[in-house]
Amino acid sequence: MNLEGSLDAFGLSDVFSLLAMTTKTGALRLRRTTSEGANSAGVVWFSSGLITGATADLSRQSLTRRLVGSGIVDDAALRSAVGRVQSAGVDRDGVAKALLESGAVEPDLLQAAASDQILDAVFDLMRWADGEFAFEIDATNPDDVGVSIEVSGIIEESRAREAAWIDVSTIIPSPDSILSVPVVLSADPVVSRDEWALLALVDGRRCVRDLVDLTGAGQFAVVSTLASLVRRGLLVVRDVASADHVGVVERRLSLLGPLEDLEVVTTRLDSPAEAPAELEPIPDSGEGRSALAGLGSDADNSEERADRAARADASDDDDLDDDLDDDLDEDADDDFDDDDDSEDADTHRSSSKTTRRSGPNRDDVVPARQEPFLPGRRQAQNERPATRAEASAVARASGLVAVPTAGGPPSVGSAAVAMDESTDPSSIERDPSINRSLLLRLIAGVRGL
Amino acid sequence: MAPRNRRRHGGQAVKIVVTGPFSAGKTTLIRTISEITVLSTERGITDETRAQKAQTTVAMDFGRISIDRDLVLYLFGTPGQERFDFMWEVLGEGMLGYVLLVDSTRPDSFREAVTINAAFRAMAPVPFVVAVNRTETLTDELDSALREALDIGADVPVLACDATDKESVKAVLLALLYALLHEVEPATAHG
Repeated sequence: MNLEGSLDAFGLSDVFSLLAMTTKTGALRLRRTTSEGANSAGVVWFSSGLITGATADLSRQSLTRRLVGSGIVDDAALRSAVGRVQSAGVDRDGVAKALLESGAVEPDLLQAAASDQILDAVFDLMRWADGEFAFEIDATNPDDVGVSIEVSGIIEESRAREAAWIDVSTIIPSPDSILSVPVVLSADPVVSRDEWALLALVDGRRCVRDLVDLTGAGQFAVVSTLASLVRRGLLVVRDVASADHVGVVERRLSLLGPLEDLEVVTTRLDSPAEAPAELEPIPDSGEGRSALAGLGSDADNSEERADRAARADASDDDDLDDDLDDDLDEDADDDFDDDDDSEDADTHRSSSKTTRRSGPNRDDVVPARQEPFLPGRRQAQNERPATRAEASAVARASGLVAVPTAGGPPSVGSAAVAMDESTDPSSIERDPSINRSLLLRLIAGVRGL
Repeated sequence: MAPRNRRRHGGQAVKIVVTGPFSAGKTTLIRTISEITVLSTERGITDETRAQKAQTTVAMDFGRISIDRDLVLYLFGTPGQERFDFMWEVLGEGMLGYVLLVDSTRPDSFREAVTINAAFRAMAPVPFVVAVNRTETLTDELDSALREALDIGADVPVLACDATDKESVKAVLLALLYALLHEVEPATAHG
């Protein structure tokens, strides 16, 4: 007999609780059709009631994408793992597991990524307003890399994220939102390495969805980081109705041409600078800082130039985003067409725009940046190996219990812990959290039914 | 297995098991009180017990009562046929206590209730109540017969129950919760 039903009748958290409380092993498969008519499917893998893997998009190798985005897998290892999986046939392991078995990734890094992947996927799935689920009993996770997380902890984390998501989504309104780096900052930027790694991918053309795909880090993590950067003024959500900063600066400077007695020439904005930059790894963490310092000086120069331009435009000196004359706006609007139209817009701008021969062009204002891979997520908890007693206490307190399975030590979130092996699995004990206060709440609740 | 702190919505989820002989009314009891459509894994009966009802629970019933924003009470009903008794221990893990439901109109099922109760008591030393279904009042005779058969003392509540009546089901759950409170309070007073 199958366990199956509709998510609008039976919430995902209840299904999870049922599977956890009955220590089921198998695959909880979910599918839905969005309002746009697109089909999507996800899966959550259970082993003895614990979650060992999850993806909200079965069409993608979500865990492997996360590894690729973190820069911990090289071409050769990935190619080899994909080849192994392709040649293995139906009963094949996943790419992530193949990478683990070939020694291409460190078990602890992979397990940390798998834990993050589970959290992100469940959070995405729990936001499905409708859909259908079916539990395939005894199905095994092809990418079981030794992570097992208690359902209760996952649900709690997802609920916490939901609350945060409401705030974040007011800042980043859509996966299609496009962000850009402002030319002028109100203060010297202070960013973490993770933030910098994401900041470096923002090119004023990629949308949030692209950034999530590129990093593989999960929508919540990426969007939360982007929102934080926007809050601090280090990124701006590009308004399709407004001009971009660099274009405005270029046009305003071009107005100074006759007064500065310099030859005004038409320049062509090189295509390579217009296309999204290719990803290039950076060798170590120090380069992020030096690159940040470089941005600071470039930003200072840009600020200087912008100030010059702003002084020339007395009526509009505080806002580089303001529109210019209508005829200039026409050019500007071309900049914010859809990506598909951007080439045409660039061509149009190239043919009509003038600038000083030695003056700033787009390359000067926004220098080509190296785009580092995202470093692995920072450990949120102390890495010191916990004692068994501590591990048990952490597991009970957090509701996140990690159980050692194949491939490495158990982990709670990203911190390795050890389980209490003295526990007798055959005995059933009273939950120690049951106390008078809890029972009085239950009595009051049942009375009030 | 070590009990797990089942948290949900940043709060806690707790579990009560409803057990008893085949056709005692366990599924009905949970359906009466649950706030969600009970997930019932029933299927047609193919053996000699078909004369008593057409379908039986083969794995579990699953109901939910939201106590408050941070506390959820789950009700699990056990399968009523012995060949599914392997599920009992799974369902019993981490339970607060259990309701042993018996059908007053079927004294022949009391022996089965004895077996089930013995299994649960051996499995988990948790409080329980005996709910006697399909009767409005519990006669002294029936009360004594049950207590003797089940080998239970005066401290274990035995009460009449109508599994189709919400107030009656509430009374059963409250009796169990008070039994739990009675057990916990001395420890609290000394702790």
